[in-house]
Amino acid sequence: MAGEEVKRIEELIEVILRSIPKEREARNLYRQTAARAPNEMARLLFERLSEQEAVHEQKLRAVLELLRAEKREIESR
Amino acid sequence: MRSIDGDELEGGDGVEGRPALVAVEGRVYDVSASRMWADGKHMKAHAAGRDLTLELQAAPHGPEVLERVEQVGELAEPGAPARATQFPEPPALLARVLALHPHPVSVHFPIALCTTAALFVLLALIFGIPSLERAALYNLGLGVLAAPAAILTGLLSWRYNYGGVWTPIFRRKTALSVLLLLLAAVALTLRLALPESFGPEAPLHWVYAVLVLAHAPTVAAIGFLGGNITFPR
Repeated sequence: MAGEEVKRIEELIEVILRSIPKEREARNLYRQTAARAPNEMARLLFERLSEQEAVHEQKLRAVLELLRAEKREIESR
Repeated sequence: MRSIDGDELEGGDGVEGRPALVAVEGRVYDVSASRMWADGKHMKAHAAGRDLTLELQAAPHGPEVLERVEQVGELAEPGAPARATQFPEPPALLARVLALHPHPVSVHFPIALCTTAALFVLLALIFGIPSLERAALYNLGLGVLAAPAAILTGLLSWRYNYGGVWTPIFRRKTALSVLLLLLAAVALTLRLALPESFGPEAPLHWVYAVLVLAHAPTVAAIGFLGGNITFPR
């Protein structure tokens, strides 16, 4: 039973882990694009998108920590 | 501001008329009056009477929701602040190297060379041409030489891009990489121990051939797992 719970959590951890580098990549891409934007409107748009990706990454890392703590707790029972 | 200890916070579970208290970054809030905290539960997932600093960081809303509830005190012993998982930052030079994507670049070599070695061994078995078997040996040797770079860059990528967190897909990829190295080590040792006039008459000929053929599905499986980690489905 505990093994199944750990497996379920590990699957979620894996989804989060695989998503974080993608959020980082998108943030960097939007940031670089904002720096090269041809006009103010485009610059603001890409800066906003970059900030949103940074928030996504932060939330994913928080969820990751919660899941890892839950896994540790189950394993220590 | 009133000091609230861990026991008082724990007692504020919002059940049976007790107040619903939650702590965030050392501050304690009374959420009893909030309709989002009926019976001390929020969204059927978060219970009152606890420190929810990390949960709030993971929430779809921001900390602005706390402006709608009353702060009633501060934690007497706030302890270490809860933090989201931090990924290690590579040294500057290594960061520049990793930006060149060395793992996806380097994995092509062992994948291609080991698969080609298997193909040449198969052709040598079918047509009985010694030069094909020799070509397989050269490809296998080069594949083995290329493997450490692929493994090292893979480990670095895992550590810095994925925080070094150990999950089933990384476990399977590592196990298959170890299997590949073992297959290569045994196959090469065997091949070098075999006589120069290598052919079906040699007693270990078939063992060697199977070992080399086994490289192809092994590298394909490693590549498949790598693709699963990186590429969208």
